[in-house]
Amino acid sequence: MTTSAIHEYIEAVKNGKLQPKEYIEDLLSKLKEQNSKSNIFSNFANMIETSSEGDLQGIPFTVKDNICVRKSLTRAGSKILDGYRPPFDATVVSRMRAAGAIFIGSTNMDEFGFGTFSTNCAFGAPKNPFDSERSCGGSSGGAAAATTVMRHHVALAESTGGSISCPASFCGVVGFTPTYGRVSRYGLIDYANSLDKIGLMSRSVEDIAHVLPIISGKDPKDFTSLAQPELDISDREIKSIAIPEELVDSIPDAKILAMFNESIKKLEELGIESVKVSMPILRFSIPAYYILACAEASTNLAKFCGMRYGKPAREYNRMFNEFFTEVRTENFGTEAKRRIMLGTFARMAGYRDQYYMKALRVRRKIIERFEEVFEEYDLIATPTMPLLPPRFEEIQKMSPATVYALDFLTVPPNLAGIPQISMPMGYIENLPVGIHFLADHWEESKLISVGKIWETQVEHRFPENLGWAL
Amino acid sequence: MIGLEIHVQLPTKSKLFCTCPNKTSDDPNSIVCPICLGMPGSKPATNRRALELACIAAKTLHCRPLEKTWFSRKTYFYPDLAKDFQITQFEAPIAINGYLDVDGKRVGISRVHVEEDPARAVHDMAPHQEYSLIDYNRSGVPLIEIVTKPDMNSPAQARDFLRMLLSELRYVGVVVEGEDLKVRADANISIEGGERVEIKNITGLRNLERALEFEERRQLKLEKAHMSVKRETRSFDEEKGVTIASREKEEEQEYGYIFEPDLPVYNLSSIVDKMAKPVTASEKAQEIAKKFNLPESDVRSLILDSKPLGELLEDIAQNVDPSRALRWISSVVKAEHYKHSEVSFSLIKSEIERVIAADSAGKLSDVVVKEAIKRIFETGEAGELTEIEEAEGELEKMISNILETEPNLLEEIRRQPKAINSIVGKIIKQSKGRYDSKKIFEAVQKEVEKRL
Ligand SMILES: [Zn+2]
Repeated sequence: MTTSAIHEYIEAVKNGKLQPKEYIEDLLSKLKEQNSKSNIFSNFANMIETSSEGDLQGIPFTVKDNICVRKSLTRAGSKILDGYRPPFDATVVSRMRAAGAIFIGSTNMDEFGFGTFSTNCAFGAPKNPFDSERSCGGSSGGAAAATTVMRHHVALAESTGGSISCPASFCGVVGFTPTYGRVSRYGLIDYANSLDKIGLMSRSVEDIAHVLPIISGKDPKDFTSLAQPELDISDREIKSIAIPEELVDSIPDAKILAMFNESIKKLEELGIESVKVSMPILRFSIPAYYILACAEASTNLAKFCGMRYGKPAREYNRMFNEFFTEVRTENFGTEAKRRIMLGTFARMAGYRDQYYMKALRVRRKIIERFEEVFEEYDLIATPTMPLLPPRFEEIQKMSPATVYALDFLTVPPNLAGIPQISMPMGYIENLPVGIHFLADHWEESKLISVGKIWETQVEHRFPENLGWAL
Repeated sequence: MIGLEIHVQLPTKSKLFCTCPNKTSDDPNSIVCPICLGMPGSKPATNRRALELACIAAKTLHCRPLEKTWFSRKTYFYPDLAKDFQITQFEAPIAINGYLDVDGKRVGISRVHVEEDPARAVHDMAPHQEYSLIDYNRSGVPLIEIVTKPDMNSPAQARDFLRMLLSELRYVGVVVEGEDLKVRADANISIEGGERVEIKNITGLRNLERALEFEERRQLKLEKAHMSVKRETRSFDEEKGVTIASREKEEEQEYGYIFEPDLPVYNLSSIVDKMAKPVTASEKAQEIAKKFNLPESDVRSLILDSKPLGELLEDIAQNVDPSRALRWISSVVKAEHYKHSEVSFSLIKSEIERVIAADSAGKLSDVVVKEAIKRIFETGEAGELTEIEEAEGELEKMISNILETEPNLLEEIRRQPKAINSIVGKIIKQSKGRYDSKKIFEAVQKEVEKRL
């Protein structure tokens, strides 16, 4: 049974048992000390400003490195943005600050979100707190690891194709991805604007329920946030869960599959019916996702050419295209270059209809199929990832296509823009394994409700040698 | 055959996707924000007024608005492009398939769409032009692009079309004064049997005609010499007055359009349906000409010059002789209006009407009317009007005065009747043109006869 760390913290502040400023300064010195080994943070806050106002009095929060924090180094995991300090706070950051939460640092990630293991980070891959030889998952790897090591903390993370659920699963924490358009993206350094979603990581569902309303809601600076109905997180009755057989049957790890089947049984004992459904269209999710995401990414990344921010070229006295080429060649990582080329190809005349336009139609079909399933069932469930957190040496041997394919469980809901929650399902070989619940568009309350139920079934574990939280 | 792609800035209060004011400044990079600078994390937020103005333009050009319209990203690398992509429209422009009639010639309009203006590159600031500078004040200013069919047959026709287009758009408030010099156009031109040449980035009406004239001559010369015209992109050198083949390679530019994922699909039918079809300058001219029995072309050219003058005419012509109203408004009032653009017609309309009404009654000389109108613009009032009838006694007095002080004049007339003209000339001078010369002549004749 997990209780809300945020409530605990706020109580302690109220009773005068805890001084946020002292607490956070102490916390920061510990985090800084261990960061040379853990590589969780890409940057720490320069100044701690505490406030006694708001619902999140003094709660420390971290921000994925692709979300702009005013005057604070924000590099989206890329060398090309080295030295960049945004002139403004992202809407989510200013909402957190207005609620009294305290920014303590930015967390490492795959460059621009391009990866599943946070190994494509220009500033070093964060290490999994459960086993430093293993990956945290990606692309919000630093955010997940930060959540593993800090009890009283909320992480602002971001998912394009599963970048919240995957690392949450690998690091044994709760990862919440809201419906596309629920949380303003203003100030998010875009990967693929039609897929990007800012979400949360924390150690408990209770904490997510506490913070989600603060960061949600319409923002006139992000037009895609304006279509949302009001967020409701009141308890809902969960009657049924659908299990897409094509997805679950493709999981190669028998232990994970067995644990999942066990979990579904537990839910049935709690009165939640489960039904296998067939969703064959989902097998097109990965190609459709990579085409759309890379097509958009290749346009988003065009602006990084050394002109107004980030690293400039060494000399100015030459043609602009030579200048741009040098900056981009030297500062983009391999995976970024691969996705720029893939995405540019997919949108070029002659290929556009065959790839980009077709992928849009596939996405439409996948959304329709999800909607059909949600007409009959409250939720969909699968394991979050088909494998345990891999070792860095194993990752080095994987081809890009192998890595892309590992996202087959997390990509479909992300492509459809539906909300998801990943929670600890259990532990295999002392490594956390995640369960993934999906709900229909705007039905975040169903995920919070099932999360609260599921939380009673699994004792969360955290590595003991890191237990220096409150 | 000539076809045009015309870019004009829309007179909105703020830029297309941010809240920066839409104005010019001599201070470079002073009207900018994270959005129009393309800073990472910034997002566009559409200025609805720009869409409305584009709808008005589309209706004025008889285009069919599309039910749904959206923005796309046109990606290419260029230093003046803040994001290295331009937010423009591709598959679904604001409207398609319209036309504009110019002197009986119908020019087809293929499409009207909205897009953001890139920043301005300044090339001649650095010593030896070692580098260029970028001024982002213009970045994100709303533009409409109007694409015509290749329906024009001569450079003069293209110029007349563009002038008429700008005048019509100015009349409905989509374009502001001064756009004749600023308008940017790309022109396609081909002679019969020849390949199509595109001239990029011509600025201003006059340069459009010059560029096309040069290019037409160049192509005809090639043809005469039995050489073929190459399909290519050229640019116009304003100083030398010639077109030059662009350095860029001849392959079709590849922009890889995608849907702009930060912006929604707009259903403008709600705007368009509510919008009355704007009355165009030509339609208004027809209406006024018919109502007051005036020559349509004169009324049209007045209205195209200035909408307020057209409104003044329509207003005043109801109460005075319409042809007098047209005559004075097209001449003196127009000239004074341009000289004193700060003076609002609402304040001086009744005075102008009073003067033209007096003139309509035949009571004033031209010079008096002219002076009175000038005074109105300078002081707000015409003052007392020297009417011709009232002055009759005075005129005779003036004549007798002259005859009395210069008795030899009568002698001269006796010898040579034509000498009467010298008296008429003196009176005109003395009366400072207050009287009709014919009237003076008759009065002088009468006075002389009395004494002979
Ligand atoms: Zn701006």
